[in-house]
Amino acid sequence: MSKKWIYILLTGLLLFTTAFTVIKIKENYFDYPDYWPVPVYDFKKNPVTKDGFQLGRKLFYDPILSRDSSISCASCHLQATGFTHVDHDLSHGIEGRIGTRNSLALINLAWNESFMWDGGVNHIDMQALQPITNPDEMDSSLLEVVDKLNDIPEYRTLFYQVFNDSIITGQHTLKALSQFTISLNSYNSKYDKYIRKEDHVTFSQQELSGLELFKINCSSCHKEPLFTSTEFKNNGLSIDPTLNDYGRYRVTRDPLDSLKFRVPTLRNIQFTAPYMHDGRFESLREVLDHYTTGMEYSKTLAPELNNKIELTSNQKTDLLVFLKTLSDFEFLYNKKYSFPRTFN
Amino acid sequence: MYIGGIKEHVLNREEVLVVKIKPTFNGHSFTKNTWLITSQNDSIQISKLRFYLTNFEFIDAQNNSIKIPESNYLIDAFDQETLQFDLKTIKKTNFKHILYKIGVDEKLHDAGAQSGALDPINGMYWAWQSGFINFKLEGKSPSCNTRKNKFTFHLGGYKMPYSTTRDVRLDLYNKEKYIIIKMDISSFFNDLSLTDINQVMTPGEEAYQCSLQLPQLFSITNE
Ligand code: HEC
Ligand code: HEC
Repeated sequence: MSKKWIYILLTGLLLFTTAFTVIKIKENYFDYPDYWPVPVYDFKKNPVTKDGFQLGRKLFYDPILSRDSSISCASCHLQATGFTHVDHDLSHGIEGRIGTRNSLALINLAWNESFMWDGGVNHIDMQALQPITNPDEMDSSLLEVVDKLNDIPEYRTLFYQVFNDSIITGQHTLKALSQFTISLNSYNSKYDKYIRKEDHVTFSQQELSGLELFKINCSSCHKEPLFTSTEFKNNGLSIDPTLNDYGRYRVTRDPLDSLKFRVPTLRNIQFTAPYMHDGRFESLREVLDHYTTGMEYSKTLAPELNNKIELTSNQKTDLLVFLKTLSDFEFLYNKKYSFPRTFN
Repeated sequence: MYIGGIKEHVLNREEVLVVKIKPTFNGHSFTKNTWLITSQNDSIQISKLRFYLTNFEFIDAQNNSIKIPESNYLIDAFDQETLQFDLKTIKKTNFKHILYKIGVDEKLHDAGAQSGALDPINGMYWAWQSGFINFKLEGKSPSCNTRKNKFTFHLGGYKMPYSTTRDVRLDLYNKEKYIIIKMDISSFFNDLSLTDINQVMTPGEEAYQCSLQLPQLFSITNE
């Protein structure tokens, strides 16, 4: 346990008798506060090790993974913006459906039951197939990627260290990537420290008011502490006729799922613009305007949103101030997640 | 290629049972892209036929079940190497029945990246809607009003009620050297009019209906 955690633990014990202060360090590279729910991800099948994490990190930042070696995972998932894409024009340099959806932030993924806005991917290992697969053919080009990796002695050595196998396989490539992406946990925002009563962090009057408003209007779906319930909901966005994206319906073919999308986390939301599955809103103020005055009432609209949300302009400001407390700079600038200039 | 599934176990005595798969059309062997005629009178050419046979199991005279762990095979009708494989680590007694699945065990579709025949490297896993493609059949027919008259059957889906993984149970004769499993792909088209159904590439009702026909394709032969 690092000195810092021991310090937190001690101050916790001394100053507060709440159970909230202890952080569980499960693994070198996977940790989360002990008052959080247990992760959904099955670590037994792919335990996160230091070498595995570092290999995944190297792959994540290596353009070798795209079919034409032009982009890496990080091209669409940038650390400083919560591992999402800031640029709106996603279709640039890539093909197929991926261009029609806004990139998702990669934060606290071990709690996801499914992946993508519509939950079409059932395991984090399989998410990486998308950027390396040609969607028209539906034939994997993972084989090509693995062939390229096998040609690089450095990768063969690294894979051997992690998986005890000098031949690089598709399975091991996907599992290495997962070891990195599954470890991208954010729990050190101002909000978290306030909840943990850590470092003497307090909330201003505005932030307190914002938190209150959030609890009343938003937390049924953007549920604390992960700020998502991981459910699929229709939050009243009108259909974009140029995309005709019906969300969850694509996966289940159930009309009751029409226009439902997975509730995204709001952690680091200040930096993950543009917002929504198609990136239609540039700013958080536009998002709030949507929830107060832009709702489209359709059959599958979430019952939580049937009653109109009313917010005065001051209340909106308070809510926005609160949302900024979800920014976790220790996460966004953590060197262990950044481009691997040197190893170890 | 990364085909073949059984991990080598360290055993004192290892028994081997050879299984051969014999793809036919109306009982005759056929090659890629030769013209064939279905019972519905559609002329067809088959360009791709790949599918999984998994979870092999034997039943002996005393009705004991002998399961072969990790027996997952990806069969390619046009790739000789995949048409024969060894089932290891089983005692050869008088087996009465052979059991297997066409397609991958439902439990493995959402269990993350797998190895061997099940490695997504083999192009039998969907990227946009997770799950294995259990069975791929592609080709051409003038009856298909599609681009280049192509038909594409990618049968997959592991969730109820539309699971496309099918169980097969066949009787065995005594004392074969090999087990020869004949596959007659012509049966696939018995109740299927290519004019009406020629593109099935997502899980759901259609894929499920097509998969119901699959067990009928297989039989044991001694030739
Ligand atoms: C061209 C841009 C692009 C690239 C490159 C890219 N992604 Fe993504 N990623 C996306 C988009 C867009 C989504 C959301 C897709 C959807 O919902 O349809 C996404 C979603 C994800 C998710 C799901 C997150 C969640 O909460 O469900 C993960 C995990 C992920 N990507 C990992 C990766 C990895 C690993 C790589 C590199 C192998 C990668 N991405 C490369 C654009 C990209
Ligand atoms: C009924 C459930 C529900 C409620 C209540 C709700 N949301 Fe959402 N929220 C969603 C869903 C679902 C999405 C994703 C919609 C999409 O992209 O199609 C979303 C998206 C967002 C986004 C964009 C996130 C991103 O990464 O693009 C923000 C910001 C947001 N909500 C804030 C709020 C705020 C603030 C409130 C309270 C005023 C609120 N939400 C109430 C379900 C809900």
